[in-house]
Amino acid sequence: MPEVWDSLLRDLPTEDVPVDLTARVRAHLASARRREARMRIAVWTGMLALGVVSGAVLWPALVSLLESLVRGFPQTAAPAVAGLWQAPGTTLWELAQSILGWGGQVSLGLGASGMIALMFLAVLAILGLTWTLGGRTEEASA
Amino acid sequence: MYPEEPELLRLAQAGVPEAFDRLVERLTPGLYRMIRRMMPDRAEAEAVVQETWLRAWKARRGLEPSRPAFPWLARIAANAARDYWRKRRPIDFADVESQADDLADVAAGPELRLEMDEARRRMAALVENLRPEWRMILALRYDGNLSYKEIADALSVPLNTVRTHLRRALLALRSALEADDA
Repeated sequence: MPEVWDSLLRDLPTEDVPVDLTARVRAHLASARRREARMRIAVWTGMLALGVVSGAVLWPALVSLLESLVRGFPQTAAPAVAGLWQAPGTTLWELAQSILGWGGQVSLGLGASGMIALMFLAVLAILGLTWTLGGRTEEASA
Repeated sequence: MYPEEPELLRLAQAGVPEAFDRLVERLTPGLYRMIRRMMPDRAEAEAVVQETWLRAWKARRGLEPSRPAFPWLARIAANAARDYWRKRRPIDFADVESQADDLADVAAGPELRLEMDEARRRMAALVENLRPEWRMILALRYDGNLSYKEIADALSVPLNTVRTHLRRALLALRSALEADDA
């Protein structure tokens, strides 16, 4: 490329930079940061409220879950685990069956309200994950 | 071109508002000049500058303290400008490498009879009539002082496309100058 073109194009005149542009950009950013902070507070407040509500719903189910675990494990899975320790090859299938049975007991122990609360928490987790990934995608595409 | 201290960039990257605002103070004049070259009028240029900084704030984690901030900012500005132009008409940076061989040599440009200042003034006016793609590349190259590689990164196009578009932009400018002289 000829130097004269390069030199001409490097120093093309432009309008003066508006004197208040930097101040306006800063004000715009400050406003965006306030919005961002308000949004963050709203999201955390919402999550906290949902956590409290779901905790209240889940509490009885959590208690029964713990009971199931404590009572069910020694009755069903524990002998199989002990058997596995003694003769690994023969009791592997037995162990799987026991754990399945134990899982069944746990789900029965949770009851309907517990299962609903668990599903509710799963939805919350998916929403949280989507929100996080969405924020990262927005950052990447900027 | 814009040697910011790594510490300032690190703080800006971490989201410290004062550090980011300091970056805004330092880089906005150059950013405006570059964007103004891309945009049809002052108001649109100001809007794109604001949009660029807003996007930059959201994408601040992508700032690399060990490298100058302007090429990073120019990439965001190019995207913001491109989004603006897309609203008006499709913008196409499709690879035109295959057509490059047909182009005349830019080096065989016209003799500039006018004084340099007058030539620059005319050239600036002619740039405003170029296609948006070419204006963007000229702005990134000459107002933003970006390398070909940085322009290619900013526009997400191959390096040869940048060369070809730049060459075509210069040819178009030369034609416009000749038409203006006639």
